[in-house]
Amino acid sequence: MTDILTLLPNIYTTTPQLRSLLDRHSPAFDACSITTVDLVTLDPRTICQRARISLNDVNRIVECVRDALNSETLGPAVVAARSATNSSGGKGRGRGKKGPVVGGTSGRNMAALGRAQEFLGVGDAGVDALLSGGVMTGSVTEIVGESGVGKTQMLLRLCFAVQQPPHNRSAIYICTESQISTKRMAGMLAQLQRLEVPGYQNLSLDRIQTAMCQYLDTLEHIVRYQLPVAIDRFNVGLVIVDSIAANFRVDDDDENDADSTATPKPKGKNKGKNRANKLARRAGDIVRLGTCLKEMAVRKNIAIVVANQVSDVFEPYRRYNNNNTLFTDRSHGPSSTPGIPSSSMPPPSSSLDPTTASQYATNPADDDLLLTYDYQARWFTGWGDIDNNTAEALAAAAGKLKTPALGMAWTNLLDARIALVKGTFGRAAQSHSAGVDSSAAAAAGEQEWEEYTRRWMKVVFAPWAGSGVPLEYEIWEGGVRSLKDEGRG
Amino acid sequence: MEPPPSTDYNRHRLPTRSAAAALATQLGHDQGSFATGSEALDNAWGGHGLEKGKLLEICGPPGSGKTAIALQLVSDAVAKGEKVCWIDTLSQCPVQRIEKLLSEQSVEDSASAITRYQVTSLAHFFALIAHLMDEDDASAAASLVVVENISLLFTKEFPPSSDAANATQAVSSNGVNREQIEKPADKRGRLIADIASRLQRLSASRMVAIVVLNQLATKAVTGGGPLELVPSINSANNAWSHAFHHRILLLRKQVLRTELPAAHRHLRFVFVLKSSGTDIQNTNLSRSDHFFVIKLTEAGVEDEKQQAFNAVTGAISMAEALVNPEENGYNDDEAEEEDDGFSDPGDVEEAPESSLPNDGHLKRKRSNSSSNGAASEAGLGGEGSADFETTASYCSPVDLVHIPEATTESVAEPFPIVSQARGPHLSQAEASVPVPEEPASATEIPQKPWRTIVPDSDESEDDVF
Repeated sequence: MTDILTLLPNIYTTTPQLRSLLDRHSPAFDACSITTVDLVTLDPRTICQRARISLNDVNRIVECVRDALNSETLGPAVVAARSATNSSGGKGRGRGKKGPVVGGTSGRNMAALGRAQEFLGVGDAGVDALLSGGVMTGSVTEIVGESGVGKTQMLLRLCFAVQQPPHNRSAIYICTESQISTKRMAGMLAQLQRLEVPGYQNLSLDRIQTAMCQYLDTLEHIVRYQLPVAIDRFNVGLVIVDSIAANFRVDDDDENDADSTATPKPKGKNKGKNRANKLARRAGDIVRLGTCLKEMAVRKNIAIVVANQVSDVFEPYRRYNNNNTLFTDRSHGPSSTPGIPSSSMPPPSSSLDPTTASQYATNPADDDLLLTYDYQARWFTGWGDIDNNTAEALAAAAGKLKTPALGMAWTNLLDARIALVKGTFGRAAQSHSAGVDSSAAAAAGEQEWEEYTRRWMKVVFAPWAGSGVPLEYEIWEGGVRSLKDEGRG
Repeated sequence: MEPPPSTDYNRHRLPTRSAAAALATQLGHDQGSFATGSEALDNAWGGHGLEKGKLLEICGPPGSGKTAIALQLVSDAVAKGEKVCWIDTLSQCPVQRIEKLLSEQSVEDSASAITRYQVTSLAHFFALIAHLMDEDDASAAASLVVVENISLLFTKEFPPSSDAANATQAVSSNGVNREQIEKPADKRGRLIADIASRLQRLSASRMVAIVVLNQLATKAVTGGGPLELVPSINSANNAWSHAFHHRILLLRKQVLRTELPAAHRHLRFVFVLKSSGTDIQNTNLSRSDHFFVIKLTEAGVEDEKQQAFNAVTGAISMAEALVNPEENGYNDDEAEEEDDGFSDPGDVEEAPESSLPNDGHLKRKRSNSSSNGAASEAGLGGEGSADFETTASYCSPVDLVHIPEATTESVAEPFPIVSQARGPHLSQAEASVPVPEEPASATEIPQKPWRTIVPDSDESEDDVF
């Protein structure tokens, strides 16, 4: 029963008579691990037997809890009309009431929800058209890409976008990796004010609250307990978590050696078991954090945008692309071997066990793998899905086969994913294949490319926007902006 | 104090009605079904689309078009003047998109026909379903209910790997009534079955069509191997899948560069897992009569041109047959081999060439006279034997059918449910295939028979994350 206060935070104010009952019986419920969902699913007599509480009390608790649950879902008026004895507050029709606390959840009419949904654009016509207006409030959006591809720039621009009319709300920026770059932020602010974007007079760094979380525990605590308060206090419309993966990735470091040195043959069950346990535990953390973010987005009707990192994929995808007639060896050098260690970070996605590669390398048929994560992932990770009519340059960039960190458990929690793809062009072919083999960090950091970088943005999936169309864009001081087609030779 | 009158809400009885009256209502309802815009989809659901009183489950990875199909049904229902109830879980339905769909059908005052509920936990959801069952006023008279991503509720209630933590906690909290403590896995199973039966009752008693969207989860195959995707909500005893009349799985597939009229990104491959109450347990992923292709665009769902598509699959199959000649012509669903890795050592003595331990290779080789295939198989032999020791320790990957007995000549059916539950068109086709080693007829499309979808796997062995 301890979960009732997380499910229904204000149950004691809406149904005060429940307090004494729960105070008395909570230990009994806890002892037989009866949770709120049991109250509404189990037969009251079963509860009464298990928890050894009188049937009367159980019935009263069940009644109160069910009404409280429904008054949150249906709006208090409906429930109050149904059970007249229940003083659940809310005398009038609660439909038009859009308080910040219950705003996202109690709207019963689809049209009302439509009015409440806002879209935060980045102020560029091309990009906003790609996103069908921008990032939707009430959803969790992920922006994923290599370092230096413009994730932070886009996030910063969104911080200002939420301050512009018609939103006129403020933003919270949670960093997990490095301090927020206030210099860049100030530069962008100056740029936007110079351009006199709509509502530029009100843009201010004061309306961006920042927080720094270096550990997963801190992040979870902040998200769970402090963020809801801050959202109400500052009239927040946008919460940004810059790199959700950072805190999870640290835990994975000890897996690095085991993975990269593994021979193509499985070593036995033990290692796989450990790994599976570890992944399952991590998945639990991801899910707890993710559902918390999701619930907040929905309840407070805010947009939550998280940045995510990518890591390289080696063997499984490469084979698919050799199968694809669009691809030649130019973009995939022959030097990549199954067990080659990633230089800086391990592939956090659990799908990248090099032991599996050789097993399937002899059988390139798709149908075998159709229902595997590896095969389907290319359409929801953003990499590896090469449309037949994409430009070759983009195909080469997107064909470098990254995968977003945190895997399927995280992907399922997202409402939308926007992939930022970059490629470096103008170098001879052999350096290209070298770039494939080194990791993202190495390609971006160590080697100084003298030629230009091209970037594309793609909606991988989003309930409100069409997916799969890449758009070339560039970074500038004021955010990101789209490039005209065929802008570069 | 007397118990509140509504405590027996979960033992709601079906109202009694004469069969003749029921038939009259059914016949009288011309608009008792909702169409998607794709004829193939509508056919999969009985010809006229999703009928009232039926339950439909749509599974698929993110971006595969689950919501798109649901929205299409919604817009059709609204266009027919029906009321719709849309239940969002931990996400918000994009109203913009619904309005766009509806405006194309020139329906005015559209969004008000849709009642939307937001549930943020399983408890909320159960309470809401109970409310919908109880409710007698007009507001609940929806004839289509959509439950968006029901799996999120379960993911939230039962995060992965919470079992161990909860178990230790339960033990530590003094074992007075430990036998009455429900394990999280059991509870999950109970709640899944409970939801299924409640939805079933709701749809039957109110003649409501219910659409449930289900995500996919990855499942680790013990011992390594690629992660399989399985529907996130499922139950070991089929309590979940039995509740649904129709179940489809949406996937995407790499299509070779061809003259397909539609852009690749719009194509979705629909696998029918269950149609009109009939389980199609073994959906062969490569047989073109086991799936069809739809096109998802901003304008909605429509059929992909079937003939163009058939040409494509034919081309793919041909290409694959050229790449793997040993697979060509092996056509028997009863003796499915899942994969090279999942062979059974007991079959070795059945094979003429007992030097090769991997019977998957052997069987295919026997079924094919091509010397080319034999040569490539011989080349693989070394690797096959090397893999054999490790792969033999696979403890029955749950979502693959493993029928070692079927490779012998015995007629005994190891998994009777597979053959019994198969769709009529399949069982007819396969009744004429008596012996596994029978070479396939040349008219069949070349196919690889060992990878199948078996969606209803045993939940208890799951590592869903």
